Amino acid sequence: MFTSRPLIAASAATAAVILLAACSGADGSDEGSKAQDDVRLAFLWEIEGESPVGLSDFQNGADLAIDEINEAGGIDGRQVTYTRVPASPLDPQASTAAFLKATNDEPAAMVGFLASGQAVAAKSALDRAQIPVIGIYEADDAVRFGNQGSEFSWALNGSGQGTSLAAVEFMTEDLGLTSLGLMGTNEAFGLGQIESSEAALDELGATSVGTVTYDPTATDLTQQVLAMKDADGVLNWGYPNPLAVQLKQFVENGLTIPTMTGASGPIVVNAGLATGKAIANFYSALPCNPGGTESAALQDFAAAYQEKYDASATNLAAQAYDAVYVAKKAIEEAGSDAGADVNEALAEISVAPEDGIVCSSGYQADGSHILNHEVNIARFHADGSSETVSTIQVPELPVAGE
Amino acid sequence: MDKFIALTASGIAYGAVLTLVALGFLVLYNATGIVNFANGDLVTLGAYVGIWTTVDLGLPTIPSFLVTLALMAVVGLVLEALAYEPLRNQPALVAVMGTLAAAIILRGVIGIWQGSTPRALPSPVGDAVVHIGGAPIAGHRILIVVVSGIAVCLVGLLFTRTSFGRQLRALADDPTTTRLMGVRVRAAARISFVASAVLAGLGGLLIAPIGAVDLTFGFNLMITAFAAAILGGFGSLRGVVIASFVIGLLQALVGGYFLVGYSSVLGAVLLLAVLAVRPSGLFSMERSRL
Amino acid sequence: MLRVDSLEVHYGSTHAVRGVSFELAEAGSLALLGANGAGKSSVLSALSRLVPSTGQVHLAGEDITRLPAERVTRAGLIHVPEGRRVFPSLSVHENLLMGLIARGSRSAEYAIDDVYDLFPPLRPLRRRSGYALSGGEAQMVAVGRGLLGAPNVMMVDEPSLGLSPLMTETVAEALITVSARTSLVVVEQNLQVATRICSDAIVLRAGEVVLRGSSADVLGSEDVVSSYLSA
Ligand SMILES: Nc1ncnc2c1ncn2[C@@H]1O[C@H](COP(=O)(O)OP(=O)(O)O)[C@@H](O)[C@H]1O
Ligand SMILES: [Mg+2]
Repeated sequence: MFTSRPLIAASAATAAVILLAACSGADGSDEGSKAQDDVRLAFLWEIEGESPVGLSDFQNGADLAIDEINEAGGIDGRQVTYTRVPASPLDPQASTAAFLKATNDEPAAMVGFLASGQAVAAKSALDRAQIPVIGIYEADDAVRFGNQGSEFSWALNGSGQGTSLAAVEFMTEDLGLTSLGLMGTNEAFGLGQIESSEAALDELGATSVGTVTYDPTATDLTQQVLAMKDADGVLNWGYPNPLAVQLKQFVENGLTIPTMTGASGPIVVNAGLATGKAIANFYSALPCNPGGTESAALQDFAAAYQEKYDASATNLAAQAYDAVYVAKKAIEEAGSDAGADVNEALAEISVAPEDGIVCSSGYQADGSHILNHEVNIARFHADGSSETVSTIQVPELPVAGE
Repeated sequence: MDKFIALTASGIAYGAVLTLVALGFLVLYNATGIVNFANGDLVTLGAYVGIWTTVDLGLPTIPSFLVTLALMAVVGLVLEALAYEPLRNQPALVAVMGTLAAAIILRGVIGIWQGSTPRALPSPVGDAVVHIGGAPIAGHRILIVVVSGIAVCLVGLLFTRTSFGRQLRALADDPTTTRLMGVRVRAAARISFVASAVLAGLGGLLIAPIGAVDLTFGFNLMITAFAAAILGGFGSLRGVVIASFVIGLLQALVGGYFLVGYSSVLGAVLLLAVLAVRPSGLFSMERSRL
Repeated sequence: MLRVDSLEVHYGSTHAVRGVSFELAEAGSLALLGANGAGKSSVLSALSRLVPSTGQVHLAGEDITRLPAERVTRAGLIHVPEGRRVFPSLSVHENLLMGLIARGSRSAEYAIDDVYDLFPPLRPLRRRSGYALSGGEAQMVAVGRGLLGAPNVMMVDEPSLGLSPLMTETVAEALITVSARTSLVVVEQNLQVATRICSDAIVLRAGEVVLRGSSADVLGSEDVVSSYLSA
């Protein structure tokens, strides 16, 4: 019997690809016990190992909230159960399928989508299913209600504009800097943040000494760093890797001016991508900073998390935790677990610390369906620790286009 | 002036790493006639294995480099056996697709092994900074140039002074006649997969301490190195070395003075320009395999 | 030394070699004659396994029919191909060194210095690149390279093609010297040269053997002349 080797190899390769796909595919969902009188939620995210970008922080944070809620008697006396459907933030199209799968269970609300693109891609599915989804991403312009965001999609975090505004406000008013340099990746995220930072500078009556962009995969920012020589502070809207390059090259060039960034900051510091002097004057504008907080509630959360998972709580875990409490409050206010009712309640609710949340002093939807309007400025220290040095309120955004 | 020196130094360091990755393309292409698109993910893997041996296992620099390169050699062998050997009697395009599939699988495996959080590899020379003409140059960039220089010289000696090097150049000239010489083509393919994986791994080890390592780490480097390999004619060691430094300096200087932020596309632009003027570029590379 | 039975070569619908059989004694020499397209080169390529074929090939009693090309060469059946195929980017000396690969542990008649003695014009050209050689120089390199592989049988395809009469003479003389110790198969268009080098000859027409015998007989036959005229 003669079997061609190419065929064997091709099938082996195909098998391997399918295997990988299966690992990250929409089939591996965890299901809690399903009793008729339970309140059902659904989570739309992956956990570690399901894909190269899978992180367990979200699920861990949410699990902690669910445990606490059930221990305290559930929602209106009913236990809370959930289904988790893996949805990759890198694959918006597949996210729609994940959402549809999660609707089978008729949950009262869903928490998840880690990238605004997922919510945009799933808009019409959300509209049809009439189940609200509370996403954990920084809202960009596209996902705002009134643009391409569904009436049923909500952003727990603030907006990119809010982050820029708070960052600039802190640099100019708290640090008293006058000549800020702007840096960022040369694609949607970086360019969008640079644009809103420029608007914020205008608004606050300051100007920038220069704007430079770079490739997200850059390993050499000599040009960009030299262009920042005359600045007394830098806002860098980049991903962790090039951010680490910038911080190290600042040290090499003897630049000790402060650098401000967004959500990449804690990753740079926690993963040790830059250490010591490179992070001695480094700030991050974040929705939440469980690592360096004065807030007793957030400290308690971090301690409980550490105890349960033997790992430090990240801002991602804390946000997932809060999102579950936001969903709980909405279901309670609606007095119903029908998605459409919960959605109506989400538009009106005001979630306060006494409702169980830990990241913000309150969540309240604006016209754009953004829930958080508060930005924490974390300052890092050379030893890798951080402290929250300021909490800045940013304006609500109206329905996009109004 | 010190800006010029700083930019030149960064261009040279980048050119040095490009050379390593481009040589990986060259060695493999000469031996097998295919372009290995898993090269970028091999760079990523080299960096992660370096992090594993240095940070996780705590080995000192030199043993950790050696262990990493040895593991990369094994990966090269496995890649040859799984992705190339079964396809080598197929049209070259099929074998190239095989390397692409290998790249995707490799990236998936690295992701599952290392997760999505970027990681750092400390430089063996720490944060040392050397001042040349008033411009601060990171000690690590100098290390990159020295180590790459040694590696390129070794590859040069391999090409010109050893039987394997002769066989490789003979294969590039005329694979059929090379078989008539009794050259074991499979063995040559294996050795060149090993060589290109080791070169990619070394590139990863050297560039990682500059920033941080994540799953896409090697991709951009691979694309630019591919441009350098094509510019250099895909045949000669010297051509590839020169092209790598031309691209490195072009990105640093033109990017530094005129096009800050978009320097990474300059290599591709130069490639397109050269191909437009001399469209035989790619074509003649295919011909040389006949 | 070499026995070929019922060799057949097909290229798609072209049936290029049809049932060719012959035998070659130790230190024997055989000229393969025939018009352009008769299938001579195809016979050599089939024997060295560059093209697929059916039939049986034995070298020194060993069945080499199914071996891959590089192992056929390493077994000592060495093919000096049509057009010389000197490696253009390797120097003359490096080209000769490539010949050593086939040798393995077999004892060889020729060392590198012997090749330079056999072809004195190559000595000053040691470092010249393959692409810069004249046809005659390239042919000397190709034959020398073959000899360094320690051939049990060396098959030379069209050694005189495109060479000046003087150069043809040099190469022919060298092959005559070689044939004293080494079995040779020589494909030639030039009947005079072929029959001077080889003691026996076969004539192919459209892939079939139409005549075989001693070189003198074949050269005297009317058929040979006609086979060269009608392709
Ligand atoms: N690679 C090939 N593919 C298809 N046909 C071929 C090939 N090589 C040779 N032929 C055909 O086979 C026949 C014999 O060719 P060849 O062996 O080269 O003859 P010779 O060497 O006697 O001139 C010719 O008809 C030729 O056109
Ligand atoms: Mg012929």
